[in-house]
Amino acid sequence: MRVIILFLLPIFIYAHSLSVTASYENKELFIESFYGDGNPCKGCFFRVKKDDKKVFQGNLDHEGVFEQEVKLTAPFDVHINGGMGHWADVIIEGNEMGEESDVTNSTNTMMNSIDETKIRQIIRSELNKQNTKIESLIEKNKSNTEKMLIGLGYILGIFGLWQLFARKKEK
Amino acid sequence: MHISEGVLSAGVIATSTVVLAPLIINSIRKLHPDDVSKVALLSALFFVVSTIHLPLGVTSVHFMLLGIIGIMLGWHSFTALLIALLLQAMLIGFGGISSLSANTLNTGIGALTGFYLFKLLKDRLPTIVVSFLVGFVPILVASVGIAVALLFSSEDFLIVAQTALIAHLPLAVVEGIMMVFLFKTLQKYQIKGLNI
Repeated sequence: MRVIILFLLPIFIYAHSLSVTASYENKELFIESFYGDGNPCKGCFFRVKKDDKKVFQGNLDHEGVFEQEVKLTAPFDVHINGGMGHWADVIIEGNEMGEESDVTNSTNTMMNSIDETKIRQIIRSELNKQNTKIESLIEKNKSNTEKMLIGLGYILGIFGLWQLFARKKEK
Repeated sequence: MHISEGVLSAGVIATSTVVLAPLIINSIRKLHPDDVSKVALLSALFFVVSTIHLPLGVTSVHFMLLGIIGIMLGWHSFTALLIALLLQAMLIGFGGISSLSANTLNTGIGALTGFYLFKLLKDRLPTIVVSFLVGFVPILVASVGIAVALLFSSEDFLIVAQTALIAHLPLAVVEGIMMVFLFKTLQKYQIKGLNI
């Protein structure tokens, strides 16, 4: 019994998987990365790859965030290296709403002095950032214990099937 | 302790795969159905303990318990570790598919060292010394393996390789001490087939 407790006890100690969320809007690249226990990936190195070629690289800040104007063309991959074997990837797809920049403000005569398209872009960019932060919070709340239990389930399944076939073969 | 995806050179990946493949095939062919559950248990043990990282300065290390895996599984350690490392790479993002063979080989050699160390020393030295060494040495062997794999991939990894070695020294000591207590417990309950 003691042995079992000794083996299972570490499940309740925090674990370090790495998660990443990112967005690219109006040439602004936003990346946030954190470990399974919610700690930010401080100063972690990241690479932006397009068609397997490095197009940009940098480091996250002490809050595990990178936010800067960068000239990139979506789609591209963001690869974070959390050190000592931890890594995470995220794919930024092409901007589906990009075409909206063609919308004109001819219907709204009251807003002649303001560029409606510009306002739309700013709102979209801010909403996108907020969405990324919400996604990041949801990811943080996902328990690493859950992933471990899934892994244990796989192990049980793989070796269970193995034993089943081995026994059948023996007969 | 896991080597990340995309870090190793093609030569190191190919070499480690070529070396590992016969070991895995041999293990699968020779594994008796009665031992499958033991391999599953220790694969699960490694999967859980190596997912838990302990902060150590600017980096972090994790337990591996290679000594006990080696003693209980011998050459079958490679199969147990391969499954655990594959699932870690796919589910949690530790290590990687391209570095799977190198990671399995390093940890497997560590476990095998524990197995032969135990066989060689169990009747020659006091249990407390043997158990400590069985916990301590496999970690050192595995970290040397990691360092070698990194150095063969690129000379730029010299500092990373040195860090991997130094960071695992305290872990090796902790695992050695853990193994002393584990041996005492296992001896007390005289678990069948363990022969401790």
